[in-house]
Amino acid sequence: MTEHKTERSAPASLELEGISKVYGTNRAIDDISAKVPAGEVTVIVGPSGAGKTTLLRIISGLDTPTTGRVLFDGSAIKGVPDGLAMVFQDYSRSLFPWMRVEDNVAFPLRRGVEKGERRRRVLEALQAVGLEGKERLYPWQMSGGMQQRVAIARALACQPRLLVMDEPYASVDAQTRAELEDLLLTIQARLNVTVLVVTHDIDESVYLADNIIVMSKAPSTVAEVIQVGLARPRDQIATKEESEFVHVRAHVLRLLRGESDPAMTSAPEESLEVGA
Amino acid sequence: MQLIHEPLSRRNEVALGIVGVLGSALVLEVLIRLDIITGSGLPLPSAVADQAWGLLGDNDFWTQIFYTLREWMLGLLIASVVGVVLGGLMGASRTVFKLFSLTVEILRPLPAIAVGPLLVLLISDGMLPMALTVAIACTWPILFNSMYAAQAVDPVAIQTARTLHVSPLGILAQIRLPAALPFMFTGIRVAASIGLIVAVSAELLFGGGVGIGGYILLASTSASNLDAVYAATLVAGVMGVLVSILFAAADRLLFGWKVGLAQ
Amino acid sequence: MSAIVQNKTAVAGSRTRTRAWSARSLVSSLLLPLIVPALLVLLWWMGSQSEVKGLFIAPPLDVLDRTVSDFLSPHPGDFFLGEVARNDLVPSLWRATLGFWLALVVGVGLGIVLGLRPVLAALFQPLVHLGRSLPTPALIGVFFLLFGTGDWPKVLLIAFGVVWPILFNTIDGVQGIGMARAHVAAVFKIPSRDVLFRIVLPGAAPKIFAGIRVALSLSLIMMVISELQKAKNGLGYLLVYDQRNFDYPGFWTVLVVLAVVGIVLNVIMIQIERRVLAWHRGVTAQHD
Repeated sequence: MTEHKTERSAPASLELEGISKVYGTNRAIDDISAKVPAGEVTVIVGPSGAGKTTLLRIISGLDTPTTGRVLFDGSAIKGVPDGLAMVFQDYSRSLFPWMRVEDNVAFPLRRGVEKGERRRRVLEALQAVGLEGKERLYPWQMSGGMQQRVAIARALACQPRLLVMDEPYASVDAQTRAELEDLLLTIQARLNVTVLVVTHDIDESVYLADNIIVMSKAPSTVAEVIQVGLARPRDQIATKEESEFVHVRAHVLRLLRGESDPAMTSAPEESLEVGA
Repeated sequence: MQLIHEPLSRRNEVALGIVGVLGSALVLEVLIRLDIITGSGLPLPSAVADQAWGLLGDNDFWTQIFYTLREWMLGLLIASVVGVVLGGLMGASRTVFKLFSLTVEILRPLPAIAVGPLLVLLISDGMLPMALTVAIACTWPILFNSMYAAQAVDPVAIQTARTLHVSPLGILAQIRLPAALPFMFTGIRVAASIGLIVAVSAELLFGGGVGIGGYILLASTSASNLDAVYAATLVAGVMGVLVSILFAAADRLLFGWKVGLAQ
Repeated sequence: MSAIVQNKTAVAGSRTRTRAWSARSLVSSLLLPLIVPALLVLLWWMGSQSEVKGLFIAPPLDVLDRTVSDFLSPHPGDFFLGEVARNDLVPSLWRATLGFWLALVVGVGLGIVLGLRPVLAALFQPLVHLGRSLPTPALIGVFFLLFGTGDWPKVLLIAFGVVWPILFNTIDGVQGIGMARAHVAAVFKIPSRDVLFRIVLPGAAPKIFAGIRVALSLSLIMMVISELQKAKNGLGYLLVYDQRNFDYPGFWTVLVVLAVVGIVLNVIMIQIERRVLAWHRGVTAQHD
């Protein structure tokens, strides 16, 4: 891939200050405060109904919180901030079936990017997700995993500083999910973009994350923020065999189930003695 | 352009709907009274409403309403039988489809209203020629929906039944038929609305004075009685809306389960 | 190895069998569809010979003959159109076309505005339902009174009758675009023009086309109806005129021409839809 001279802007950081969201009498989100550090992968996990998607919509500026604010690189957002791109869960409904892949990926670039540069970015993005040569196809001519790659390419073509993903791999099969997880990590490492993923898949959350924000169930708060110290680059086999992986995973699961976890009062390395 | 909107609650929707109807009537009334829109023969909402109210209290008019309703129901019934049977067979059997497809394609664009006068000549007076006109217009949506319904039964459901050792007749009765019914009914719903309009139009154009259409015909002859025309047309329109609502309710009641179908 | 040889002969054998089978099915595909129409024409002829009602049923051959002589001509200068075609068919179709396009522009334009704003849609939905259920032919007299005689009231009547299915379906189509697409447009800050022409219109296109199909056949009906009174030319006018003059063959030719026009429009419509909505067939096929 040709090295390009375009300025890669610095990855963005997010800060959530006291976010709450109330719908009528329904308090979906009670109080979420957390930091999403720049250049890292942060994953939000929570039980269903915890308001993860609501939170994501607030973070991306699609919705406003009842109280609290979202700080994007230190300033409060008003609407959708510049430098943010999003990948949605349902690719069949977020890609446009009447446009070819190349037009789908180029679509957000029509404003502000001229034609030649558009084309270059589209091809570059498609190559980054492993879909070179497929730009003339229509989304529905591709498998689910490929369609989700197109959605990721569309987000990447915008050269975002924050990439937000809403349960991006929930609708694909397990093997494709593993491929897409590794793809995400590769892209993140190469482009040094801040990534925020929402998922209900615990294994995925530990595998991907530098930080895990565990949400409680509604009215949700932050149950805990876990730093994941696993080495990069991650590997689907080796990483998942490491004891830290096993313990973080168990810890998250216990949090989600609502039990306290006596084993995690000590540092991760020491928990080798506990259980398994 | 903001595409994201908060969906309205059902209550708000209904309230806004009522406001819309009354508001539009009010605006039109004001515009006409203040001579902002001029022209003889414009529908003044208050006058039309007054006439409509009078019509609804008139027993003779109700006789006409019932005449139109009977004619419509007869036509719809005939069309339903023909449409469901023929459409269902065409959907279920390749051979039957080939037999009738060309015929259907040729006859379908023919407006029922154009054939009506011929029927009147052939069958002379009475309700039948007009009911048949209604039937012709209603047959097509029922036929096509029944055809699609018969074609599109979920193969997984059939396979499941086979593994449960259900006989072919059983499969027909317990799987194919129930699965096809909701879509056939959709065809009947669509046809019902079309049918009422065709019924009134047929009476108007070659009915010779019977039914709601006949009433409109007679009222149209005098230019001073336009409000009666508007009123009767409005009544017919409202009837059509009520029929629509009724059929939608019947659909939900009888076939509410269709939402879960694999299609 | 022997299994492969066995397979090859089996395939070869089935190929010859397939060839014979497809010849038979080809014949059946061509002949079967003609059986019922032939029967109907036979019934038609028998009807024309009947003593009681035969007067009103012109014999099939006479009708065919008359249709050709009235509507077709050997002169390329007249575009091969016969006298009746030029005097009545063309003006009829012209009015219907104008009325249809007027309804299309108003229906789609208004439908998009209403579909995009739930408050507006809620305000006007009952009125759209009402308009859809009105027996538009009842308003012919009114239209003539308001707009005089001539082409204009006819065009407006056709437009008024036909706008409702287009409007209704456009609103439905626009409302069905879906929240997912709306979110994409918002997150990626798509400019309004692109939202309208590259998201809303294509997304609503399948339903809009469904409305257009209904509108097309309805416009033919309204065209005929608008010419039954106070007309100087047109297919509807001919229906009345021929009846009054007991010219039943002429009457039947109009029916034939109406059917032909309807079929032609249908075919054109299918071709256009095939091109414009190719993506939609692809998507729905995927979901099966």
